[in-house]
Amino acid sequence: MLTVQHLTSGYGSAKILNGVNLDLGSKEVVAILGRNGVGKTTLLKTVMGIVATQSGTTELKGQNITKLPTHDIAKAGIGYVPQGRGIFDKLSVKENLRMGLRSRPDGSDEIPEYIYEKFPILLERSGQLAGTLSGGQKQQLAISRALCGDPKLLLLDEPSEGIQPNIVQEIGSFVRELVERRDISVLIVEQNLELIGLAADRFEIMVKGELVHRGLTSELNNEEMLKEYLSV
Amino acid sequence: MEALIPFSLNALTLISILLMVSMGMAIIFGLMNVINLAHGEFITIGAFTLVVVQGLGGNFWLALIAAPIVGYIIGLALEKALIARIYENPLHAILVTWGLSLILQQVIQLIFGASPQSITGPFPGSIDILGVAYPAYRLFLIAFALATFAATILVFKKTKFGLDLRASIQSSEMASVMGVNPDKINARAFASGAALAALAGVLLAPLTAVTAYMGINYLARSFFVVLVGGAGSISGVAAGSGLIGSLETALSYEIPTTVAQALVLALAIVILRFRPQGILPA
Repeated sequence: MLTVQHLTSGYGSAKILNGVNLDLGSKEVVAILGRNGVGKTTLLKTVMGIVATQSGTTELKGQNITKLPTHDIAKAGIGYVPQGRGIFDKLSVKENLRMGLRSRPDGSDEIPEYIYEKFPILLERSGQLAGTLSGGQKQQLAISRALCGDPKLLLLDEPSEGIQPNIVQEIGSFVRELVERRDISVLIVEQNLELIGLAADRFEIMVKGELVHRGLTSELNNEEMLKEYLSV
Repeated sequence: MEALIPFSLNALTLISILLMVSMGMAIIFGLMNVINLAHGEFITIGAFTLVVVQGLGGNFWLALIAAPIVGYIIGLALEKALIARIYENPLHAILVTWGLSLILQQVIQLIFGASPQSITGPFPGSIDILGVAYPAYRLFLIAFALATFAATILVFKKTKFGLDLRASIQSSEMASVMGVNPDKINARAFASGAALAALAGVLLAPLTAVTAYMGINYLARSFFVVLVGGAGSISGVAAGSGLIGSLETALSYEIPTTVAQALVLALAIVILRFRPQGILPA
């Protein structure tokens, strides 16, 4: 699905990613773990074309998307939910979802039925300004908006940030459901081990802009490994 | 009471003019953060479209249709050739659009000469309003400006382009994550702003001296309307035009117009000191 090879990127002369290699299969959920500032968010932004790639390649289903502008990467089939969610606060809930439709390959103008079935609050609050939603509702909106584009790959940056534990669980099981039912792969940057346990098949650990350790989610109870890579 | 009617109509005329000349600037400034110092020249281009159309034997209405098209095309060409390269740096944008403004003024003057052009408006007479005779053309201008304002709001709220535009004004990065091409939106928005200014130029022409420099009069005022009203917000333009237009009209009754204009701009600065985001920000 997604193949990243020797990817480097950064801001100006400051290099953040130092040669990332990553292979994400179809219907696979991979979590990226790591301390703050190691480059997890930059990896997602580089894949999305928001931060320019300096060297290396990114392929989506065999298509080289390394040099594409962000809007074409979205159309190639990647949905991105950034840290802080990137909701258009001054647009209504429905208008946010309609923006999500822009990248659909089939050009449909209809918000997919299953989204309102899963999150009925988005239909109830349809005409309300998105900025007035609670943190959890905004996260539901942000993920739903990304799904409106019918992506093959979903990039989630810290979806658990600032939301209640029960919604964290709901999002975790929803990610699983998406993979099973809608044939989507997910790359997720996350600190919350509970969410990773619920949603991910495996994890990769990032240190100083490189992925240095990988494992199955079941290995996440290995205290020593967690201590080595994640404790402050 | 009798005096109140012409006063309100005069204020409404000025508010309508400010609305017309500021809407385009609000879109361009709100979306791209570009202070377009050549905005006034698109007003001039609109007025000269009327001159050309009437010179060729056409009438005012034909010019009213032609001017926004001419403005859109010239705006689109200039955006692609110049403006698209300078979004990154607001200071460059100021210098480039200022230079563009000077060049456009000189080109227009070279082609048409320095003396004011003669044009004819569509309604020469007056209309009786509650016992007060008021120029029919001004009443038309008020109605037309309100209709254009309503149409612009409809485009903003109801069309795909309007939604893309509002989303891009809030976050250009997230709009492109959604699949919106920022270059296309910027080009169309800049050209639409130019088209609105050109339309304003046709409407203004019968009320003012049509020269290559006529746009300058409106540049600073439309800029203040946008800042006081709130950048990137169409309802903010209405608030800004309403405030600046009615104040200027009221003050002009007692003191010379130029002093009134200066006072209003000073007041605008005071308002921005206490409410830097404007009255109704996007």
